[in-house]
Amino acid sequence: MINLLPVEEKKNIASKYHVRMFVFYLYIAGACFLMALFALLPSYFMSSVGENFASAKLESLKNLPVSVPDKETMGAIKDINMKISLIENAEKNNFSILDKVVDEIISRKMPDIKITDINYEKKDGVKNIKLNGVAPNRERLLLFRQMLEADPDFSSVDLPISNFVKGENINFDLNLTAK
Amino acid sequence: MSHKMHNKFFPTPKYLSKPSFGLDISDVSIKFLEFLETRDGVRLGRFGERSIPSGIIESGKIAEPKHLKDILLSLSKEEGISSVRVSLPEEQIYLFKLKVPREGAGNIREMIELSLEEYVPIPPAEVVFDYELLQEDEQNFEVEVAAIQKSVIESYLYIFKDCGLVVPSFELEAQALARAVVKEGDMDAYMILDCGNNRTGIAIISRGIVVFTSTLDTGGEMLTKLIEKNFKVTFTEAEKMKIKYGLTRNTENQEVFSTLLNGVSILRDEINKHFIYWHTTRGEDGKERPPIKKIILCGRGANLAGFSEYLSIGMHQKVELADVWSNVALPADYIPEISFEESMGYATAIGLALADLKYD
Repeated sequence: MINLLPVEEKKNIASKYHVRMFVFYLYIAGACFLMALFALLPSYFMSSVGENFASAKLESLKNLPVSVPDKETMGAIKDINMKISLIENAEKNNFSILDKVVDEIISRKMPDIKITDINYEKKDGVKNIKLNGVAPNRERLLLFRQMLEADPDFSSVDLPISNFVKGENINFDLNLTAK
Repeated sequence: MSHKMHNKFFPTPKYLSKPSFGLDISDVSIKFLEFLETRDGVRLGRFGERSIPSGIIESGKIAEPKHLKDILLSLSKEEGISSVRVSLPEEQIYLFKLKVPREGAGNIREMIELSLEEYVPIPPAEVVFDYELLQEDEQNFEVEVAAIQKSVIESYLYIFKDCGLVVPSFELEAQALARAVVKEGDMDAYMILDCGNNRTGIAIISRGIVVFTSTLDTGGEMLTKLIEKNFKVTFTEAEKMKIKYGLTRNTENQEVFSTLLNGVSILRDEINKHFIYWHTTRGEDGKERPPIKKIILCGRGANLAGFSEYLSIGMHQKVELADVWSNVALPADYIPEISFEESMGYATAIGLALADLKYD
């Protein structure tokens, strides 16, 4: 279609159209906002009422007299606190050395030697480790002791002679002192 | 094409578009008309006519801007018009075909601008023009260009703006007429005669595009004045006689027929000249022009009884009155609130208002 309207006027009309479109979109956005506002209002009021109810309940619970805990409960609390304190101070008490000691023992241990218990005690700066286990025979137990003695990390290895009374499946007690 | 398809499936919503009236301005009247889009089709909205006293517009140029402004102001106030599509009379428009080479045709407008001086006797800087693509081949684009003096457009635009009216388009009168009376998609050639009061517009449409326009300074008023003079009656009485008898030949009408024949034969000869010119000359491309399939009459003057038959016999051509609603998708059970005779005068306004539905 031939339109003899000057080009500037055509551009002007096009820009006015875009302005109308922009205003229209603004109206739509505004309408959507209002609709969302009205749609959310009931939820807002309900959650607001719920919050007030919970706050009031909390306040009433706070005002209730707290019952004195019985002896058993207090003991349990004390025990738990002590355990927590132990775990928290593990690093402080250099318990991490235990990993190293256990690793050393296990690396020296032959597959047929079974360790059933490890006790670690640090007293006056001396680190004592007590091992309980089962050895298939005296030779193997002796070899295990020698292996530990050869380890530079242990200053003394004490395997009482009573452990050699039994010939096979020997339940042994072994005392180590770590450096 | 893609724009049309897009508009078909995603039409511009009414709250974004500004519905426009078709405003047909001539030297003697302003006709306005709007269409309303409804669910079942297009219906006729407000329409009407305001007469323009002589001297306000002369041959399409505004001579008395203040008076025209007053008329438009009262029209916009009374009818609530805010946007109008306006037709421009052919007298002020230069229409020509142009071949724009494809090479270097990055911007067709610029290429046309460079060629304007060859076709328009006005400096290019003082011209407003637009174009429509007719066809294209491997070497060229063939375009139809319409150009008008900038000051003429600005004089119209200034008044419309002053009246608070938005003008989305200024169109060739013939283009609007063709949109109304030639069936959409019809590629044949037609001659359209717009029979007005003081002038007769001749337009030739081919492949749906206006390819030739001319204006004759004779119209229905000339015929009325012939009766007035011959029968020594008032102008109003002469007009009544013209409408009553027209060109139907019978015993009672013998004298009026003879009188009117003198005027109508002049008109017929002039139309025939254009018809012969079209068929005996070649187009700008050197090719033969397509033959005119029929002559379509519109405008109030076309209602003169026996006029179409007279032209048909005189020119040995098919002549018929326009169906100005042919391209309006009216609902099946709806008849526009306007008589057939009256609708002939609104052909241009209908074409302009149709542009609002088809190109908005």
